[in-house]
Amino acid sequence: MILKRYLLGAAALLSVLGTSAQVSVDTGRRPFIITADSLASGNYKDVFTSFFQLAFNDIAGPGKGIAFASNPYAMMAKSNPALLVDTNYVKYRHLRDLNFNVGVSVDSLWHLNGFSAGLKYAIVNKRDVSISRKFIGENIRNTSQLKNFNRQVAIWLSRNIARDAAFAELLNTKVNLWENNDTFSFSMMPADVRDTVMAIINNPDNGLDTMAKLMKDDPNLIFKKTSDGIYKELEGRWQNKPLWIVAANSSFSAEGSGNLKAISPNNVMVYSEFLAGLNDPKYKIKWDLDLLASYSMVSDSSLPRENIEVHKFEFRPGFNFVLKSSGTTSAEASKPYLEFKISGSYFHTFSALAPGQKADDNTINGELRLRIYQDIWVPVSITWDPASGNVFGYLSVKANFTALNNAMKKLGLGS
Amino acid sequence: MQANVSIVFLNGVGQVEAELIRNGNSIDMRATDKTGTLQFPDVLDEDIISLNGACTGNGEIMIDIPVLPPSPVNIQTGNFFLNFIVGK
Repeated sequence: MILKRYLLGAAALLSVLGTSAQVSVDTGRRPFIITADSLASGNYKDVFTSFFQLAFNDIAGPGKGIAFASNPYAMMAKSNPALLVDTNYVKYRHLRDLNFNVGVSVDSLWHLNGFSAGLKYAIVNKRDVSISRKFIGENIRNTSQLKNFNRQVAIWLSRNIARDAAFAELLNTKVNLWENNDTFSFSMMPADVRDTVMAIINNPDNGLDTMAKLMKDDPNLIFKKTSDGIYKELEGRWQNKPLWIVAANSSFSAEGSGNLKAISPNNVMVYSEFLAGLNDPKYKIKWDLDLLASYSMVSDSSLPRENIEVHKFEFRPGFNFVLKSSGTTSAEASKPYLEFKISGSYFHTFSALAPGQKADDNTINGELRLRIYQDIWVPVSITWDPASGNVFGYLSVKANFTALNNAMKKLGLGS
Repeated sequence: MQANVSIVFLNGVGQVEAELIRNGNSIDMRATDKTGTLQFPDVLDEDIISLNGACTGNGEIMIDIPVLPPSPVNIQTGNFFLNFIVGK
């Protein structure tokens, strides 16, 4: 009930901020995420997000909390839509590369007991096609045959409109629909329009050999799906490009009774993470290199809270494998539904050690992510400490949504 | 007459190429890779304004003379192809 109230609150907040949103709800140790772009791998979206994010952390545990993340550009554009125009979109790209987050934590009785804040900056984000004129240019080059088809139709219209304006207008309406509607197939056109379109395609002077082959392979072709497939295939290849972020997070505890609470830091962490695709996405199994280095300063629970005594470095190299992608078309191929990530962690503690504690430590980590329905992910994470033989595992659920309305419906909170 | 083809790209970048076609011949060609207006100074009824392009976000195309299909036309992420018949 409380969770539902929080989710509704989140919905209200996000409806103020915009409809394309990323929401994260933690059902245990890992967040449950609602995101606006689901084409990317789940691992990529864990590293860097472009939209709003609301997280409910550790709902089942003692460290419950709520956190909000966004970027300054998203906030500014909400109050000034002119910033969404492409010239401003490019101009303010560095603001879009900056994420900030704030959060509060509560105890088991839902009393405030701490808060957190952090910043994340994408030094390199080559995966963001939305900003890339190079991507657009390459995509347009890839559609030269479709472009030529559209031009040949225009030439036919200009030659025939004086003779039969009504038919020219009908043909233009149907062809525009065919070219731009992904549910409108060739067979949905009237027979006389189909015959004329095929005559245009099969005219050897028009240079539409590839188009003719497409029609031969699929006489019921949906033009728009073909053009979308070209776009999505290139977009998928762009997801192989590098992403490098740096980030700093800090959390503080608030202790005491009533309105008088003492604030003290209990964790400061700086980290950097790098992702890069290692093979051509055309292969069935795609894999990313994932490198993470962090330095954290954590308060020692045996000492007064204001003392941050444990300084620890972690280096975690790993590989994320996209094992399965849904669909048979190139447009759908970039939607992964099964991923496996394996990594090794090396820890070094710089501060004084507790009795029996080692300065250097290692673990082996594995995470299996399954997209169980459209935009819902279930990751299963396992960490193994080879020295102690201890194995830790946890299960979580992540859901990616294109809009908040869908998110609320899927969570059973919307109409 | 003059036709102004206004293109607005939102939430990303885009590119559009526009060609004016009359009686099977190319009369004029314009292109842009940012929000703006393409001007065709010499347009006649029954000319065709042929457009193709792509955008990474969304946008809108508006032509300030009577055309079929009527403008403005919204464009979504991906490729778009449109032919406008002038004077309808």
